[in-house]
Amino acid sequence: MGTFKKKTRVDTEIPASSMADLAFLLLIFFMVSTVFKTEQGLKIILPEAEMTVKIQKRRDVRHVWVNRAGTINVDDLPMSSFKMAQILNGDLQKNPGMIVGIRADALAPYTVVNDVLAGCQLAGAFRVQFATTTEK
Amino acid sequence: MLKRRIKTSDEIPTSSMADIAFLLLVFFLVTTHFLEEKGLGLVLPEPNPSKDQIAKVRKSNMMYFVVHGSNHIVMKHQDEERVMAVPEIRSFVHARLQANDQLIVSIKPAPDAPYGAMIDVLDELRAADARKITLGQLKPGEG
Repeated sequence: MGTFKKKTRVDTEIPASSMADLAFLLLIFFMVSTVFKTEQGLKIILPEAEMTVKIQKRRDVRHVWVNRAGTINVDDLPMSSFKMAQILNGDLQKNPGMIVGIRADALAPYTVVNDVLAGCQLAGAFRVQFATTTEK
Repeated sequence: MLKRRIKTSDEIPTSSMADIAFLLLVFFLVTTHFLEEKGLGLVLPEPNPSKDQIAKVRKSNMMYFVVHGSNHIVMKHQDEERVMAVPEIRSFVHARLQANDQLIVSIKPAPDAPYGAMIDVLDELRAADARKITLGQLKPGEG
């Protein structure tokens, strides 16, 4: 007895209609996960160093800015080194793994950086990092 | 006379949507650059060390770099005193460390010295693989 075999057709094409959804999903993912710099910072020229290393824990870095004139800025607010120490101490309570990133202009007088370091010591923030650019 | 009807589609073509979305995606992928944290790390000592934390160091184990500017760096080691250029420091310190691994290198920038000059010296010491580094401002009347 002969039976008819039903031919099953398998679609070999990738469905293109869902491609747009996929791309938008990726787009939205990148838009959400991208973190933009929240602070403006100062116009400074960082010193160059050959031994510049990348800091892995980017989110733990707290910036202290020193401009050419020797003004200390934290969160875009100019302040004394003592006030800076208070702020850093408060932040250190929230994040014990905090690293202070000193972004000072190459021509800033050293005495200000010395004050910043003393302030960091006072605040208990012993891990500091001098932000530099890679020497060419 | 028969008029031919022109059929106009009032739908937005969805087939090119993927191309538009990918275009945007590629654009953002290319233009986004992540903020990198680069620099020279340093661990500071505690501010007020107790008496038993203070170690006595022999004078022969101390080497000072008094920094007045990028072109004005004075090296002091025991009775030796000489003006050094930044590129010289690396090989000099490296040789001295080979001779004495207990050597502590101290950077002493003048208060009015540019910060970049101190970084230059610190960078050279890093390159020379000096592990024991102290950093302190030059006191008035010193150096």
